[in-house]
Amino acid sequence: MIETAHAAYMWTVQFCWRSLPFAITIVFMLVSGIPLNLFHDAVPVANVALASLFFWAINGPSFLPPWAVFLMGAAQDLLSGTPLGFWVLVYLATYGFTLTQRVFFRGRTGIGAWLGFALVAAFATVFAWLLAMVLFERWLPPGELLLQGLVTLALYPLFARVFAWFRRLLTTVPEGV
Amino acid sequence: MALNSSRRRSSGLWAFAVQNRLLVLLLIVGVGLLAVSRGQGELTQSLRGAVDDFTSGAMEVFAAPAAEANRWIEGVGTFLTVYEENARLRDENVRLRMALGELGELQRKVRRFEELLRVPTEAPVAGVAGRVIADLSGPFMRSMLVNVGSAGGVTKGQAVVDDRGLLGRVVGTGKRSSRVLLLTDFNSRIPVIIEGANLKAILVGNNTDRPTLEYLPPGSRLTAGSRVLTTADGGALPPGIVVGVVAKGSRSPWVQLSTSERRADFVRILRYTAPVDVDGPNEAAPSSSPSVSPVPSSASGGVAPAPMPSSAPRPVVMRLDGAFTR
Repeated sequence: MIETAHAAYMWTVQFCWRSLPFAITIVFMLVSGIPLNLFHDAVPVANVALASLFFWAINGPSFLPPWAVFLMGAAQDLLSGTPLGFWVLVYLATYGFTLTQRVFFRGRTGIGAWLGFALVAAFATVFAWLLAMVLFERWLPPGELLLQGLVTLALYPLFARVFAWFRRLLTTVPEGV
Repeated sequence: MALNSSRRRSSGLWAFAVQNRLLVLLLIVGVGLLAVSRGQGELTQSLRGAVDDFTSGAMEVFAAPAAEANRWIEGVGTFLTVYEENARLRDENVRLRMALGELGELQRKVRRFEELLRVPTEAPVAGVAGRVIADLSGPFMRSMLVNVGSAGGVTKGQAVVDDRGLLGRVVGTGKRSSRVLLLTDFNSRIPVIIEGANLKAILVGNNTDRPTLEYLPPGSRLTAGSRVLTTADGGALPPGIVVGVVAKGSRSPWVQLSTSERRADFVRILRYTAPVDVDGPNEAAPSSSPSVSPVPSSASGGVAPAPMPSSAPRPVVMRLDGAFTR
């Protein structure tokens, strides 16, 4: 009985510990919704979830499993007002695409990782754009989506640094976890 | 050869799908979720409301510091143009003083005419004030979150204004939060009237800062700079709220909005009820008793119109409040 309780406790602690990348991404997503009038809103807010799923899919998919990507997409849908399932599909498809490219980009840093993210961001942008046009049954100007992709690409090195710091924290497992 | 390579590719995809069974399963769930939320939008509304309530709780912590930061950012921007701004404001002040004198005279005249014509007394539109706590605009949706919800009497469809004009409409409510669909969102359709030309149109959002005027009568002529106001058509919005001014576009005329979500800090959600005049079964025969006519007919020898019966429900009409109709 005690052994079972201890095992359940350990599993919970490990689960929370390993869910840290997901939790951090959700916090970043919420922070990006703060109404700050930077650049007079001429520049859209970066898609932090996209940067997160690329980083973790390349550098440790076990830290961001498919269920976490699913929840990230659902959170994005509920926050942004898109039909539930839209960002879920975009993020899961992008995550799957990134996993197929993992062999090429694993362990790469700097410009190599950046180029990898450019490829994945392009995939996500085109997929989201096409899916939105099918879903909303109308032509949608791709300008803002493209601009958001470029902003996310420009800021990716910054996000990658933050996520890399968390990865170091996660891989130096504290005693008992 | 080509057959072999296509077989290899499909077997590679199959191997990937087998290795990532959970991912494939969740993709299928995602497709199902999308189909359900598209078909049964109401099902996800309550979930969205609950999430908005949770989000508003978290975002409210950041709302006040964010507003202060915005003031600082704006302050830095205006610091560089302070002299030009001062000269412009002085000019504007002179023009406004002159306009104010004319306005007082016009108001007296309008009141007198209303008394003569026995126009029903206007009741002000009640509203509730709230703070913008999240700007949730993305590439596909333009919305924002306000920290008043159904507990504050907010319901779906109500107009949201700030001190400059109309921002949008409430599309979803939680207990303590409301989601506002902005005029620029491509799902936004607002009935408007163009001042001066007296033309009615629909303001259609297109996810840019330039919503267009659609469904104008054929052969309409618009003047750039004419004010665009809301109409009560459809009973959704109070009439007379400033939306913006007409601007010339290459394809169709668009509207330079008088306000936007990036300027909005505090907003007001208007509890407007459209005047609905339903005749009782005894009053339904128009031939026997002439209905209340707002304009005295010259053919009837200038007979004053019948007063409004005191028992009849008084229609609610928005008073053109200076704050919204500058």
